[in-house]
Amino acid sequence: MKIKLLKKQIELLTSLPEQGMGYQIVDITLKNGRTLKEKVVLNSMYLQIDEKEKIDPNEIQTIKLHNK
Amino acid sequence: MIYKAYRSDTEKFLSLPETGMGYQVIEAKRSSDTVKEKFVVYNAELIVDLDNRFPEFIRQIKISSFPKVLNEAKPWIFETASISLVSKAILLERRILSENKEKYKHRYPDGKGAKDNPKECANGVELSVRLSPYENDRRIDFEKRKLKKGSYTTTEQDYKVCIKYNDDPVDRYALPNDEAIKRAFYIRPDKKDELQRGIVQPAFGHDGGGIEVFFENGTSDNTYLKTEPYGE
Repeated sequence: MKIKLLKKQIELLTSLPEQGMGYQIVDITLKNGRTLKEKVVLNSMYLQIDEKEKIDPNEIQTIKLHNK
Repeated sequence: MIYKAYRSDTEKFLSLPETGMGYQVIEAKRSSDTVKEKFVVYNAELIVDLDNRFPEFIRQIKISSFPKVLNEAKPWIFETASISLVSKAILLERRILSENKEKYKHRYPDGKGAKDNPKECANGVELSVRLSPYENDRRIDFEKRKLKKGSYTTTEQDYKVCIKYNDDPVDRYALPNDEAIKRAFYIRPDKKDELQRGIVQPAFGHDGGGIEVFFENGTSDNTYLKTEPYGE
């Protein structure tokens, strides 16, 4: 499933480079300290997550491009 | 990256059958991750990332000696319990599929990704095409009619090949989502615009093999030309 990110998160990702045509791979830290690695963001605005992960974009503390 | 195994990992590798003579292809994950990554393990002790830099790592090993590389390799930090073999059937199926795609879909079998190739200046004539399932492509600056920094496209020529041979763009360009491509955004980079071109590397279970073009600094104003429905 995919969730739409907040405007400020979309703006941040739009300013960062892609890893391929139409997508970015990111590491996310939530406000509760949990981390999610190598998540795909489409069109700098849609975060792809597993059904069981259920993330609220408001819970996201930081989004960084994944750097392998 | 090239790693050396801890003893516990070596014991685990030795308990598993070989994929081929002297090597194993395995998957494993970091403790903090949910996604497994693929590796080639040599002699149950030297581990090499099986990603788009794999040929480069193999060259390093060939240039240097196996013991020297092993001595200088970083410790492998993946979960021993997560180690599993990648079945030979999957590897074989992938290879045959790629050969068919190379022959019938005019894919490029090997070559570096765009970012691994040197920069060149656009010729002011060649068209780039950006494919997307979305109408509001965030990487196009529709106000200044340009491509934003750090964006990828393919060439118009490769896009035409994709259409002509009825290829699957999601597989050809190794896209992470299986949504149908609906839009083609045309850009004609200016002569002063720098770009890097290369071959799309396998990713997300897709073979890649199309042409990709990376614009680190985007393109100049008024280089975005038009949007067309995919395939038209």
